[in-house]
Amino acid sequence: MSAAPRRVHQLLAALSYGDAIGNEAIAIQEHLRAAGFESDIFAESVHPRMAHLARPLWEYADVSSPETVCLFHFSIGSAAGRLIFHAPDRLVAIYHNITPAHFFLGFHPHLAGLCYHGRRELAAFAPRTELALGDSEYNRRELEAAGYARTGVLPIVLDLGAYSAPPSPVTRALHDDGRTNILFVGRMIPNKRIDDLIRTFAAYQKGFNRESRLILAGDYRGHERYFARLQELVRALRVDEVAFTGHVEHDELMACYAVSDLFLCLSEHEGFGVPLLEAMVFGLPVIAYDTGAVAETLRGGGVLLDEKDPFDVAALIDRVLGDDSLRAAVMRTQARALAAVRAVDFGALLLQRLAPVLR
Amino acid sequence: MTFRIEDGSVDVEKVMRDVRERIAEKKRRGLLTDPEVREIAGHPLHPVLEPHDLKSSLLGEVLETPSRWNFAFDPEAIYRSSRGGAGRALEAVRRWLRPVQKLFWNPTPMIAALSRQAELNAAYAHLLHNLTLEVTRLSLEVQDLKHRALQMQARAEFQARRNKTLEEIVLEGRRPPAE
Repeated sequence: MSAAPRRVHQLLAALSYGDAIGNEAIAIQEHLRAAGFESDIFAESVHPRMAHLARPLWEYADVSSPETVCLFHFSIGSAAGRLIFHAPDRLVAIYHNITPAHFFLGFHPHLAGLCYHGRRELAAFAPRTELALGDSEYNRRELEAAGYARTGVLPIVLDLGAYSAPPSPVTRALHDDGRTNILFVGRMIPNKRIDDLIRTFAAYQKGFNRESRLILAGDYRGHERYFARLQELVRALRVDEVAFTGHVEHDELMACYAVSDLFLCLSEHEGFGVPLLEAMVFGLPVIAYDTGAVAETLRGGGVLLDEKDPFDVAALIDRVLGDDSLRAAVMRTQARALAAVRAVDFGALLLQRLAPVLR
Repeated sequence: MTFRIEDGSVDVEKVMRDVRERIAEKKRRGLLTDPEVREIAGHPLHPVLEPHDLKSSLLGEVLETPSRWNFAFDPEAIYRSSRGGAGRALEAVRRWLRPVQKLFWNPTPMIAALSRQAELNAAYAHLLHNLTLEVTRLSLEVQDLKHRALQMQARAEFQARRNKTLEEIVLEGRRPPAE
């Protein structure tokens, strides 16, 4: 009988700074090391600030063996994927979801193609994978549908300590001017339906509160054409104060949360949704369209919409912000949800989920 | 539209009734007009056309049936008849009289000019097609560049506001404390 594996390494396409997947990889590594496993992170590209935390992909050959367990953070068309597919290691896939291709048609045909093939690649990994973990039940069901035999849920871990970092004074002063700030955090990509956010905000500003601002905090690099269309929409609807911040540093993000009054998410595809949790940490009432893993991420917190008519949503925003009892009820649900998030012992859960391959 | 909230104290139906009543009231008071509502709710987000992906099947279709828009011209064309058996007899008579006809006028330059015109028509079809395609591509590229310019402008404005805020913060820090 072979001995239980002692080497559990992680492989990912990119270890980015301040990115939820990168943070999760680091948390997994800490817990695995604490449990006595040899555990390194191997990445194709590494943000300079994270360079000390990861090893280059080509060094993976040194640790690869049939006794090594590899936690592969699945991503589309990566060299890491090709490497691990043919390596002798025991494979555990961690799936953070792939956006359905149709969202990118008309805005980013190349990415639409990559997403389409990504989903096919996901199915190709199924027979090669011993265990597949989705970061939500929604993602786990997708894994099951793709043919994975053994699946589980490993939610993304929030580093709650990181949210007590001081906010950027400049960003704070920039938006803290007495206007009602409605916030969305996420990349400016079509599945997030930023256009619906703009329409809803236009309805809110025109019909309910002229002294308001929509803060759209997220990167748009690589999606300039979609971004151009969004700006065109802002001009066409003659909306004031729509702030596209572009990529924000951690302190700027903290400031965006600190100066905002409400978090609005009208996304049509979410595999998890870290900003939903972050908004709850910052005490913002959350209104979100119920799709994908949104309800699951919110864990009963916030307000979930079944439709998103701009004027109905705008009036609801106005009601949540203006009606103290409704606002208090929303905050109660969010407090319960946060307590449930805080109660999760990520280290124990990780080892429990990995138990089938670590025995 | 309705919503879900996991708190027993909230009467969702009542909130939604109030929400709708509020919108209706704003409409009654003229604060929201139907065209405004339609414009906001229905303004589409047009997909982006990639100039280099632009293909046109017009030329192929035109070249497939040249007889519908061009004429085939050869030296025999002016003597042909389309009247079946009687036409064939007529053509024979015309051929027989051709040397006599040549005593009065010379059709060769006209035949040459019309043959050349038929070739030119085909060339114009190609040219017109290519020009239309290029103009469409260029207009898409111009639109794209305009968008980029607007993006840069928006970014520059945002940075200017950020710098202004930064200046104010610095000045605030240097201001002597109030007595």
